[in-house]
Amino acid sequence: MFLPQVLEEDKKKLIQWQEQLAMMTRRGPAPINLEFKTTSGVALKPIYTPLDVAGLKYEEMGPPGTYPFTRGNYPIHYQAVPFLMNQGYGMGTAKETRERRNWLEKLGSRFHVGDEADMTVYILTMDLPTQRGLDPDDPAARGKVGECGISMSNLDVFKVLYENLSLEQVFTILIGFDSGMILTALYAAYAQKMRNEPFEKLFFVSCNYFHHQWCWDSAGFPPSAAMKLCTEYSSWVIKNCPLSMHSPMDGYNVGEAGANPAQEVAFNMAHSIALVEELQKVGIDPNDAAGRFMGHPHLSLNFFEEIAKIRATRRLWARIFKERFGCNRPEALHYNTFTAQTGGIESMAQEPLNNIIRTTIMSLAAMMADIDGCWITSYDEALGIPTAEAVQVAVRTYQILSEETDIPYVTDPLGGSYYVEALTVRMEEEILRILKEMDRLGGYMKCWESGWIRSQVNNSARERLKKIERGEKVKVGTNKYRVEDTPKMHAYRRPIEAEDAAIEEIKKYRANRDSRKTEQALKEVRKAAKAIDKDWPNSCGSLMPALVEAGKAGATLGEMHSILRDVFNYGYYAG
Amino acid sequence: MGQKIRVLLTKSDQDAHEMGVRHIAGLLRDAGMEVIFTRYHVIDEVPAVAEQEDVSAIGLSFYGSGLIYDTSRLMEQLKKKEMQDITVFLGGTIMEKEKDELLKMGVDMVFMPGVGKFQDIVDFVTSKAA
Repeated sequence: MFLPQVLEEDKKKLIQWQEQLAMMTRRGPAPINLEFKTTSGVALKPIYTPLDVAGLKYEEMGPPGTYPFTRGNYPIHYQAVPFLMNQGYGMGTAKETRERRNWLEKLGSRFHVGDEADMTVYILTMDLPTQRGLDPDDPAARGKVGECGISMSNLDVFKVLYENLSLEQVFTILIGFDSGMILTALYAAYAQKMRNEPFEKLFFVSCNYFHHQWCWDSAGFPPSAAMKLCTEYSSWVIKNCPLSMHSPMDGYNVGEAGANPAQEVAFNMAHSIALVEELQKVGIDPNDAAGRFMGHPHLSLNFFEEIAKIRATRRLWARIFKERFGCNRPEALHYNTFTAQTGGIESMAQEPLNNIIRTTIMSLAAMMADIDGCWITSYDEALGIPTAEAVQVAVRTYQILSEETDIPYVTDPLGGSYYVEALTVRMEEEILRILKEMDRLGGYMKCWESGWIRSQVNNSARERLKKIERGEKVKVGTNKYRVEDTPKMHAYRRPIEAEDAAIEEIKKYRANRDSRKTEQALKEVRKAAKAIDKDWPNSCGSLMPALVEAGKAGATLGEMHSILRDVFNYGYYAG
Repeated sequence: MGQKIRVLLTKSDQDAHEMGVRHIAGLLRDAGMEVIFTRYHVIDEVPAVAEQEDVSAIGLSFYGSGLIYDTSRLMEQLKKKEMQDITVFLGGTIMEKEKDELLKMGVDMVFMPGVGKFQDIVDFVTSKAA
């Protein structure tokens, strides 16, 4: 990166710096700690100079928009396309959720891209029963319906949400986890049956996060079945919904489970690689597969580590998909950074207004890393789903960052910083080290099945909590400078009676359908699921259409999901 | 030293927010207790597990959702089965006003977010269940 003369000069200057440092440390009353490490374990120096990036070739960096996209996917960014407000929400019924959307829109939370008509954004968080494929009247759903998200179990919910909206003008993220596949099928069924619209108009991402058991141990599908279901789902989206993204590269939830930033990227990268390989086996071009992921990185208060992590991920992604898969389309080489999310684990219940400062710092890191958009979590989310007032502050955070500051004027303002470039290299090395370790242990599926990934995440989570307990990781107002003993925050809770309305609705929905047709369609779902289980990969492409047909025939989320649970032995495989 | 204290830690199988409860499980184990960590599908499964495993304390973890219903249901069932001698403690994103309601149901202790130290939970279980 530098002429030899510059490096020679730097060496001389560093000797002067060391002399100055020695004088400073001699004079001080207490020793100064200069030995910091990032949470991923990368040792930091007190300062960085040209010598630290001397080994980096300029072509590995380049201007934004050029391979390997270290500095960003686009030649310019926020000057042309504003930082996207990917605010997630969902509560109670479809009507309540639609009201929350109206409130967000009133605040200015829509996608505005150039002169095109702007878009409605539905980033829908589900209640726990929906996330696990349960209808609101399931006994296990009692007490949990509509509480931490919307309950979505049938086409009528979609009808209320999407009525009077032109489908191609709505961008939807269905945060459905185990139900992601079925929620997509319901959305597709709604489009076809109730709107008479083709799948091509649908613009969505569904978090079909079947592989979540490597970061948390709630019930789920066994690894081999989960991988087949991921592949079945992704191939359907790639073939039928050209606007949509087929899979999240979901760093957020892994980070929330406690993984450090390098682990977060490595585990997700391993999954993405494995999924693209599986998709290749069912005839999908890696260009189509790699180009349609939705990056969803986790953000913590480790400002520079997060920036370096995201830059390193972009470079690594471009290299892997070019060199290993021979991808050549730019979108396949772009690690899509559609939406980062400010880490909930950084938020504290004590003095919740401090969380506004925390989320601002985290979203600033996202902008410094040239991320497309962000979900800025509301300050009261340490206790529950956000109040309207807290959501307003979150929306204002984007607007202030984007419209009151000079941040958008220059793309990748940190590019060329000795520190940021050197840390990007070190983060990339750390991610690669974990990927190599996984290869050594027998590959991604082995690491998942044996519980190795799970234990790695758990170890990092516990290490972090111990540091907080010992005060080594400071949480202001909680483990340091504490004045407020009990959190005074109030969270949204739903009266249990509100559930009864949801139960009545689903009962009515079932009563109004042609149950013979529904039964027949559910039989087809079972047949297709069994084929996926027994005759893979020949059977790929059979399950998603069966689910869409079942949705059109009035089958509910719970009815369809229970078949998958039964056929694929839903349970505990976390290790 | 007498027999090891046996504790059941459990959480709904729908809720992914488990970092806290897993950490507590580790700390109780480190303190020499026998910890049984399960996920329940419906809360009604919990008393039977507690009985089979012969635990002296049950710890439930919540991220809000299901807190009031599951806890009241558990307390009812324990009463019905005459298992009230089992110590019940809760942790999670619980609000002050909910804490009072939960204590009224007969819960022995509620640990709220960021209040006190993890060690308080270890000390509580040790003192109650020994």
